[in-house]
Amino acid sequence: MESKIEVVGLNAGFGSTHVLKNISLSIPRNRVTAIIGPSGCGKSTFVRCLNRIHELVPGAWVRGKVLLDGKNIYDSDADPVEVRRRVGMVFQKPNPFPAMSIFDNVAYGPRIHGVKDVHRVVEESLKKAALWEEVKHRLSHSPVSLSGGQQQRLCIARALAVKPEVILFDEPCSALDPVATAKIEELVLELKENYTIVIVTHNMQQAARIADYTAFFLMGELVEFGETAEIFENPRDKRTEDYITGRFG
Amino acid sequence: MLRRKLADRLFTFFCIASAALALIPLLSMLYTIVSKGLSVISLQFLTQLPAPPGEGGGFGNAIQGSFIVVGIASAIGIPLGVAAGMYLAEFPNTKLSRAVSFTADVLTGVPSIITGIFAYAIIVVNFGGFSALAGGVALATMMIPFIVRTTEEAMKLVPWELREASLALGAPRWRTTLQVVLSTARFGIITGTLLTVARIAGETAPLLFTAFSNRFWFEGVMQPVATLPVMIYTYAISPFDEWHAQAWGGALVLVGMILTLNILVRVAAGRRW
Amino acid sequence: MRQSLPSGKRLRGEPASPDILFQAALAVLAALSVLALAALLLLVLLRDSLPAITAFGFDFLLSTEWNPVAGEFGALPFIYGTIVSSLLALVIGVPLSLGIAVYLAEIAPAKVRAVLTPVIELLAAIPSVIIGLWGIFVLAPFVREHLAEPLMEHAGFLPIFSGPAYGYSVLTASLVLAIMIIPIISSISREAILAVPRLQKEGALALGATRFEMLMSVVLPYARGAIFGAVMLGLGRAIGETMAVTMVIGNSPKLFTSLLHPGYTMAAVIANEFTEATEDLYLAALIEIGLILFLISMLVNVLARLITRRYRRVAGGV
Repeated sequence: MESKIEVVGLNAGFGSTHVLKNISLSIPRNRVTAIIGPSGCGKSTFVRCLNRIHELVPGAWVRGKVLLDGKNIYDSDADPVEVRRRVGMVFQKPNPFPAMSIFDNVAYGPRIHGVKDVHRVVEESLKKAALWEEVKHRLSHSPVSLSGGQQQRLCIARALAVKPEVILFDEPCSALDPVATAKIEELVLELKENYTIVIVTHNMQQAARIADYTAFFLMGELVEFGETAEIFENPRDKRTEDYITGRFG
Repeated sequence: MLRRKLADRLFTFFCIASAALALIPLLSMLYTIVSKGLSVISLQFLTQLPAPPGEGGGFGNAIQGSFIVVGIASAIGIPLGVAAGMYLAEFPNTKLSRAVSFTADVLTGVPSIITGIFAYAIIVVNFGGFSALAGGVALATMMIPFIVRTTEEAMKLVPWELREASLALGAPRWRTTLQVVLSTARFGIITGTLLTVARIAGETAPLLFTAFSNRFWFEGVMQPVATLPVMIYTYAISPFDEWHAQAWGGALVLVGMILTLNILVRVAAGRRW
Repeated sequence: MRQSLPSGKRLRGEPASPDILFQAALAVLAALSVLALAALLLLVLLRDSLPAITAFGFDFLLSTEWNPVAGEFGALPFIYGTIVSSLLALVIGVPLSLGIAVYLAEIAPAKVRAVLTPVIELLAAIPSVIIGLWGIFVLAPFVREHLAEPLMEHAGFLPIFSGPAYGYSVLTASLVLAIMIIPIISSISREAILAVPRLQKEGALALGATRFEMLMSVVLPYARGAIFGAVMLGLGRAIGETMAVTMVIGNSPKLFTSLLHPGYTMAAVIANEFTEATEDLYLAALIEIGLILFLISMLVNVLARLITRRYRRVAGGV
């Protein structure tokens, strides 16, 4: 399998807290990779290192390499802004910009990056996020009136609008009900045609349903990484087995 | 037990009496301003120049001048205050931030007359005498710390997640601050700014020897200008009954404008009144 | 912890970007509009009062003679008048403010509270020149007839109430100041009382304490810091208040003993005489009074802020 992101010896933390310990992992192109593990295992920090969002928290530090198409995003000549454009992110809680209309939320990214045909990009992105039909008549409304699931799909559309190559999902369904969750999962499966997807989840069923590959993190270490079926049916490590059979976490 | 109950009763009575007592001056003020002011206010009063005692006249130039001086103060004070508040909200962990924050807090307590001396020393002395500009600078000096505070507080209420969302789209920090944080906080900033404007519009002391006064219409930014508060003061301490009456008319106009602005802003901000 | 954008320089290997320029520009504006402003205020006051400082030295603070025509300038009557009128305003205003705060926080029915809270804060929105106008035409006559004269008759043996009784007096000025500081002190105190956890209040009541005892034993210790800070803020406001005081205190530069007599304050003498001061030394003396006023009110304000900040930290940590 061809890899899109190659993580080599990644260490990260806040101040004196060492959160990620020497992670090496390759994330395959146009596949869904799930990151699972108990809370506090560093899975969120891990994905936040993949688009250089982690380092924005005061006191945060990163060491090691993250190669995006073979080029280290932490090189001194790498532009974090460009990295973040290429590696999009959808957060745990839907976070549309409340002071902007639905349209402007999606148009925000393209406008920043100087895209000409903003209207077309917005429509395309909303369609890809399966939200177009629900909002096409109220594009000028505030996103605050949307349901939680709709808001999350708006955030997905917003991320798609800057034409990223990778999309990171940080527990995107943890604030949503089961129906909205099913919609997001369906969407993730559609998106993998064109994007490389990394999804953090605490829900093992979700990983099993949508991920091609799964990585199991425990206390800041990568315990096991492989095809999802392998991880779930035939884990090599005792700790992985304990976790997926529900003995802890 | 009886004594404890009695103490409790007495205390409760004292609290109720305090609240009632505090209302007396307020109601007396509002009543006097409205009853004395209404009999003076007319179209002539609002639009004419002041005249010597016995010849009528109005506060027209003072109303005009107040708008001009407050406008100058806002043009100077709001951009500077918002920028400083933005710095405090977005970069709170720097040494500069802590120093600015504390100083802004302390500056909110500068006596208003001191800002008058300040503007006198830097504008009046150096630029050819009393002027609307000097008055504006004095009021801007008063405004800035309040605008800093109000901007900082409004922007700090914007959740961190929104900043992250913007940065994750590849937006640089300056765009994130200006387009996402500022626009999300704009309502709070506008509200606080309008309340500050309402507060300084009634200031008199900073204008006494900066904007000074004028018997004529506005003659230019570098000329002395009449303002409502100073005019009310001058008329109040004059020896003429007719001028006293006009001072009440001016008071009604000033209080009317300030309270209307206050109430509108608070209603718009969704506070219950 | 995740409350802030980090400073730009922490980012490893980031080239000098618009973001760094943005932060630098904001930093410069913040430093200019607040720090430089404060420094300039102090410098201007120092520079322009220098002639008076060199001419009179320390005596300026202790001399009671204020006779501009004769070239005699002593600031003591104004310092004294400012301190006495402000402290008297606290004596009158603080108990009332606390009573109001308790009433609004604990006693008043919800509807009364919803109306009364903003109405009392409305007082703070009324310009001081208008409070002064009301002071001249309503309060001063009232004080003379119904307060000063009875006090003089029945308590005139006390030096502070000796006659003759004037309307434009220190007492009237202090009443005006009390009215002006009530909204600040009562609203901060009310918030401090409301910030005391419900459980603690209920705990005391459940032990059979009366409301008064509950306030004394639970609420007061908890809210003490904030209330003290509020009182200091009120004091700062009273010391610096200009117009309302100028209009009712009688403007007489003497060391009064009776509160029923006229007095003068630092802010008032600047307001009254600044435009008349044509001689350099006269102007410098007035600006030196401004400098003293500035330093005193900054001292009071710094103390108030330090107290409220510490209180906030403690309360936040509980």
